[in-house]
Amino acid sequence: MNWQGWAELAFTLALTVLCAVPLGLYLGRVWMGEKTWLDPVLRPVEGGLYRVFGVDPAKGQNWLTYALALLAFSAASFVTLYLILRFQNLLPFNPQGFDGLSPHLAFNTAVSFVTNTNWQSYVPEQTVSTFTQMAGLTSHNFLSAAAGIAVAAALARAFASHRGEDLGNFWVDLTRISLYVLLPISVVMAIGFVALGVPQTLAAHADATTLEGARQTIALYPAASQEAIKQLGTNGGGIFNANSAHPFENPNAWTNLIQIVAMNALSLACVFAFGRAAGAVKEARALAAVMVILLGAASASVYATETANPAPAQAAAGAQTDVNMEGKEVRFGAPSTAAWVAATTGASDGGVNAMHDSLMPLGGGVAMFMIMLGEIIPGGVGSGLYGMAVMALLAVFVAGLMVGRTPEYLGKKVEAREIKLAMLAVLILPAAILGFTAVAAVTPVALAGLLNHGPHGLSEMLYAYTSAAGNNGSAFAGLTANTPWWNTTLGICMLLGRFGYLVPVLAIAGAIAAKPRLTATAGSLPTHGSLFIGLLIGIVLILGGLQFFPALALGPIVEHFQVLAAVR
Amino acid sequence: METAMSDLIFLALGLVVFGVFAGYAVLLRRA
Repeated sequence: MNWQGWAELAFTLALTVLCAVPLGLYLGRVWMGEKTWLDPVLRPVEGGLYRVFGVDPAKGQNWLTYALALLAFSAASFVTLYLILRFQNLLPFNPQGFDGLSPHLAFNTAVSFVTNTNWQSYVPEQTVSTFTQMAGLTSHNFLSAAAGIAVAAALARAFASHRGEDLGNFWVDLTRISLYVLLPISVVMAIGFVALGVPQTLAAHADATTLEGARQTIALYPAASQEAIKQLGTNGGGIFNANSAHPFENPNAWTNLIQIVAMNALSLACVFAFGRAAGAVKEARALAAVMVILLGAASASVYATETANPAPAQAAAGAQTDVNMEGKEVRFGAPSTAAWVAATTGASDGGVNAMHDSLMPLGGGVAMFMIMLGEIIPGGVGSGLYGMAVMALLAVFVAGLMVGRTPEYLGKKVEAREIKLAMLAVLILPAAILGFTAVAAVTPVALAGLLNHGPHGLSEMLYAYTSAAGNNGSAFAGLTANTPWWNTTLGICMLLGRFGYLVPVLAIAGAIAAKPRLTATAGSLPTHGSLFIGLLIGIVLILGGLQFFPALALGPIVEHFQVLAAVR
Repeated sequence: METAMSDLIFLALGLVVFGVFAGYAVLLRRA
């Protein structure tokens, strides 16, 4: 631990907020259909797409129609992607000559990319063709991200509404967010990545001669374009198996910094856009403050665990150093790893620049805990905002019970229906994570995939289901997941985590939209001050996190004490 | 033949889950 490390963490976080604020204002304009500086180029394209697909952009949708449109779109995406994956051997741009994926792997991968999880049970450079990567996977990085942001836009409109039911039009939101936000920023980022050394090519591989004179085949892909949307859309799926620890995905400190900032910036921008669209700028800042405080705390915790704890392998060798470099990319070291771990698990990104399995037990525990909190710090693009909004509704409800004030949030009364729906959403994560982990823990075919047993083995299973249900997609490593059991159950877990949360959230949006918008009175609980920020942090930690404490105690916490005992 | 059956099973599984969520949404609307 040193001051340079702490300064790096603080700088990364500050830069993320600095990028998110203007991005949020721009995103808000896109949500509201206002004029942007890209209009002269993109308006005709947007209009053309509506004509081709028969979309009437003026036609609004109630929450149910909006939800069904999203589900229909996701189901069609799932089928399309499944077929691409299964029959990639018959499709063009397959210079590697890869065969189609097995049915259970195609199911897992299709679900994974449709739900914005991007869990990968396969080694990309040994499994997927260039066509699959571009037309199948990268395209879904855009579309699944846009779908999440669309739901956040619908929720913002619900709060702005006065006795209405119109949440906007899903097809319009999907088009505008893809066209005006994700595509242009990704193009700029991809060009930047190419300039910084990330390859962008349709060639299958490069041949090299090693120093010993051996021939080496180095896999290549159009990596820069994938890298941009991978981080911007909180997707995280690597084009190479080592993900952003691979020098082609993340060649240097600059690309590392850009990627950390990119994976959090748009999620945080959704909060500022929400404030603008819902007419609640101060309240949105409070939500952003909660996210930034918890994200900073997580970065600091991982940095502390990776530098302050005794490193077991080094202690056994008698080395006099506190820094545990096991599993970390030497180019980045502990601070850049800590900043990345917090960012990728808080943001439902899932890309890694170090293997989380190799972190100290408590470091891995923090990573898991961040996902267990519901991916709201700042969460996935769009999903982080609506997840935090659900927590805010619960916070005002709890505060109302404690002090006897009428629960209301952003001028809308919070009543029994909203709280029931909020609890339906919040409970889906523990049900999926703990339920599947419990079953896997007593199922031989599941246990056969573990590399370790005891507390670390439990962590590997728990992390896998947490990552899937939280739509994060990062792997703890140490788990052989490409088996029918893991591919199928993780796939179901991803669907539950995405749509089991999203459907009640849209129902909440419908209920909120139908209410009159009230003016705050002396009886209203202020939802923008430090008191509310503290309350919301408490609700997030207690409601989101405490239910996982027993499972964490049996995994990373026990392992932490085992490590302490071993090195003493 | 076996692979074709597996394809049908996994495609059906995915579509059934989406169908369940659509039904869930309709149920929440009525509740």
